[in-house]
Amino acid sequence: MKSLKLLGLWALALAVGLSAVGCGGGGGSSSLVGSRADLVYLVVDSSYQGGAMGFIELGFDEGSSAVEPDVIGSLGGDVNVWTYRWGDGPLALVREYSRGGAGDRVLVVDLSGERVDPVERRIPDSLRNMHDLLVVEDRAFAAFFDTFEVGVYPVGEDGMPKFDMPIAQVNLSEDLGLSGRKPHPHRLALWRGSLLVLVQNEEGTWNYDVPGVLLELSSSDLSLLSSLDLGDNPQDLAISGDFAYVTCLGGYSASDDEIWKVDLGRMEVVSSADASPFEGLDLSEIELEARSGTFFLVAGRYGVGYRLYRFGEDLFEGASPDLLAEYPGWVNRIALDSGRKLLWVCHRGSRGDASLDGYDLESGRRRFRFDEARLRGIPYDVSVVR
Amino acid sequence: MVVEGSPLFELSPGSFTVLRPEDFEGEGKDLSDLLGRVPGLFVVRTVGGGGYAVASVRGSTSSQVAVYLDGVLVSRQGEPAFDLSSVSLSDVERVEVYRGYVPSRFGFPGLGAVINVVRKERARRVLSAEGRSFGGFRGFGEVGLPLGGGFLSLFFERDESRGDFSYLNDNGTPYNQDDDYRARRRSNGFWRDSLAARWARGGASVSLSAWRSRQELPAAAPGTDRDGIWSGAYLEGEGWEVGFAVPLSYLQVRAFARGRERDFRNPRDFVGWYGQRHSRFEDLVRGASVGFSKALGRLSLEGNLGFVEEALRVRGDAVERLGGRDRFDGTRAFCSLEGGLPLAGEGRTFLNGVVRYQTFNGDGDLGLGVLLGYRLGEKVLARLSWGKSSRPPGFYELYGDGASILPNPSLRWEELEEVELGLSLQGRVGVELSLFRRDYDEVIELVQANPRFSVHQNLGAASVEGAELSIGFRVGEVLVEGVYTCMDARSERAGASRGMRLPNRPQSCGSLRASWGSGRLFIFAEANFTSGWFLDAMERVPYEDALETNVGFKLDVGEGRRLFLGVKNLFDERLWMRGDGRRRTPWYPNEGRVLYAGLTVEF
Repeated sequence: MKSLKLLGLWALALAVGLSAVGCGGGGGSSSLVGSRADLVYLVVDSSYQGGAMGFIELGFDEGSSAVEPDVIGSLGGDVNVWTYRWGDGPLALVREYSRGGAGDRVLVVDLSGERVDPVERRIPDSLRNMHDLLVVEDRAFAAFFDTFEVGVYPVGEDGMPKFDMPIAQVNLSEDLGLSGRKPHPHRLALWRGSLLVLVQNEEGTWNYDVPGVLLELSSSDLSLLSSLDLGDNPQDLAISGDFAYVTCLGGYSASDDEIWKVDLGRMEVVSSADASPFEGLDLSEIELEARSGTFFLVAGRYGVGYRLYRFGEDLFEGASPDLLAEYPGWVNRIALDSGRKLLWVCHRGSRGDASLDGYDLESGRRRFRFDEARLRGIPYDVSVVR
Repeated sequence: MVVEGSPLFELSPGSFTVLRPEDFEGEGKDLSDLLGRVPGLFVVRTVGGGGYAVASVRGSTSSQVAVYLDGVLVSRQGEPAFDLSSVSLSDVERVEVYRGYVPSRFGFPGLGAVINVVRKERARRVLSAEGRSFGGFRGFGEVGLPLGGGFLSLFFERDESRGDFSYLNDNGTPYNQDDDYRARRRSNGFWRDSLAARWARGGASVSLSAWRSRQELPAAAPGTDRDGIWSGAYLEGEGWEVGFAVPLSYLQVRAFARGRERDFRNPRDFVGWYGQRHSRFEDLVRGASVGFSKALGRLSLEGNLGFVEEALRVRGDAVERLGGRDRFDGTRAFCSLEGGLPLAGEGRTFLNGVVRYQTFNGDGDLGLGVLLGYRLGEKVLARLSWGKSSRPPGFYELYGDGASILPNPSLRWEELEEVELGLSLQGRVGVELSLFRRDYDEVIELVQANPRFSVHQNLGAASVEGAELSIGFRVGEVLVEGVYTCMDARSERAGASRGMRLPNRPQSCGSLRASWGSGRLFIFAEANFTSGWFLDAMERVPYEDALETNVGFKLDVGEGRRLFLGVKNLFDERLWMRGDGRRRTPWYPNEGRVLYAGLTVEF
């Protein structure tokens, strides 16, 4: 009986003093990889009480790659990260959700390694739960899901967007007349000088099974240029040329999942495909590699698992997608790295099998797997350093 | 004798501790404070004194601790983690805590962890009033009179606090000290009223009790507790209970019913932002048990049989706006048999064993416990025990709530296997030492299934190795008592947290107390400490080591009146988390120094 044997060992341990020792601490903020980081990732622990940010410097495969976990180790359990270039080097902005009304916590980490400590702020609670961020030159475009706000903000010298000094800011419910339902801005994209906003509408409480909206706003003053009703519960947006591709989840049954192809010039739907090529699973994340016209899409459901597919434009003519990978647990994020020709998949796992996987865009084969032990947590979000 | 928990005592051959609230009367303590003096037990509080608190025993989760009132299970399937703050101490005779080997009369043994609150059968004639910092007040009274050949006791208690202590708030930005501010805790108050009547004669008793309470639900502290941010959420409830106990020859029969209605109000939609502004939870629990105790030659036998039926009804926004499940029903039943047999050496060596079978809504599981004891003279006893126990999933774990948690009907029971080596020494110095190892398996965890739903799964596993020490002795007139627990509680769960320390299971904690009483005056001083405590599963969010010192005195001023005055947390030590090597305001700060004073009158 292992218990008895180990009890003896335990007694020995007691004799040499297992008593009070000082606590360990979270990671420090000096960086091993720093300026060589190719990826920034966020993890959460299984209790969702803590989270952390880490770097990955890619080698040829995972064995030759360097992973530095816990670069920032003081994050909460609901976080997102975006990377952008500012000045001479890349920055990462981490947003930690605050449910207490204190306002989201935002950290800007200098990936060049020149500045050791991150710049840290709380932003006004009227800008709660940032779902997307784009930084272009000295402007930051942000979408705040909970409070229906979309804004343009100047970026300060330290690389932190000045969320309390908007250049322009609109409330989708109050300012744009989308008040019939709760219009949650979810994804942003820039297209020919306009800001595209993918809006998830909520009806009543927690019911997103209603049509979403794609908005085209002026990127300077956020005035409304055009809008288009979409399918229920839009999840993700990919842009290629003058077309946008939107995944719509519908309800949590798979009956009304669809991919919509939108002609942005005319702001109208030109084609759609239902979920049948994806085995009827719920459609969520989509990425589009514009040069090759290759789509990557995640579809899945609890109890069945999640699958990564690859397909081309011919899906809308009835072609079948390629199944690249199957995962037992929820895949909540994919991120495209066109420069390195990789697609990153955040698999949150089901039984300690979470991983961050990198797929070769051309072959569709998995080239990297960083498991949760190496990442020191369950991957929650990833952003590519460009 | 100072140290209890010895097999020399009658309650159990295994490890247990008994605390009597009257011994600590006038010391500003609630049930959580008392349980902090139990080796192997750690109390996790989320708010200040008197607020929501749960217990962990030998590395267990709070859901794995079975809590009983007068031998009747009160930790519900609808709420397996029992809130210790819901028990008022005014009518409590003693609190028993069983660890490891659990006697058969507790048909649902948790995972080797039982807290049994035994209430008084005979009231004193006492009135007491206590005021304390942050708007705290506690008043209680008890009175009794002979009636119908028995004794009728009446108890009442009022306890309340604003909980508005001040503390340093780092705004949740440990890298940025410029935005730190001094804050006063908001939405952190509570009040609780209770009334109980009990009639007892011999082993028979009838009890009636009722309570009502309100518990404010504060926001996580970092960045809050300032103008414009106010939770306003609270939980208000009322409940009643009726119980009977009747001895019939060598049988003891019990029956009880307990009802509770609670309203969760969240007027500003502050908690979760889910639009759940009001939900109502009504539960009714009924049960009965019969037990016997009989000697058959050298073999002493004890057996028990019982059931508990529970019905939970949910109304309000959780159901109507979020599509939640509105009713849960469950029946738990058990039968158990325990035997004790003297072996060699005229009973110096003895063997005890318990076997129990539990069921919940048709699923069942067998639990076992074996204890081998060896007495050396009158005052020394060594024991070795092994046990296996299990806990069925709770309502929300198994059936989901319909709103945000998916059902998982294939969820398995949580399991524990434990081995323990104990030594008791009774003499001028009383010592109780236990070494234990626990292996938890199939531990239920909540995981995110998709953006909309979570689900409970049997993911967790853990091993816990530890030691518990209780010691007591006198130095002249001074009584010195100490308890100390050290534990190495590590996750065996697959994945990144394997080998990490379990959250909310401190590596060591303990209490040292010295008291002196002579005639009219009683003085005490005590220190409670905690070390190696992580909030998260990846050892990233540790609490700093904490030391709390309490002092006080009680003075008899004649005619049955006793004045008391004291200070909890004399040096105003605050709890701090750390992150990235920096000090951080914890989600739920402790209240710091608390002054209290009061008067108890016996009439």
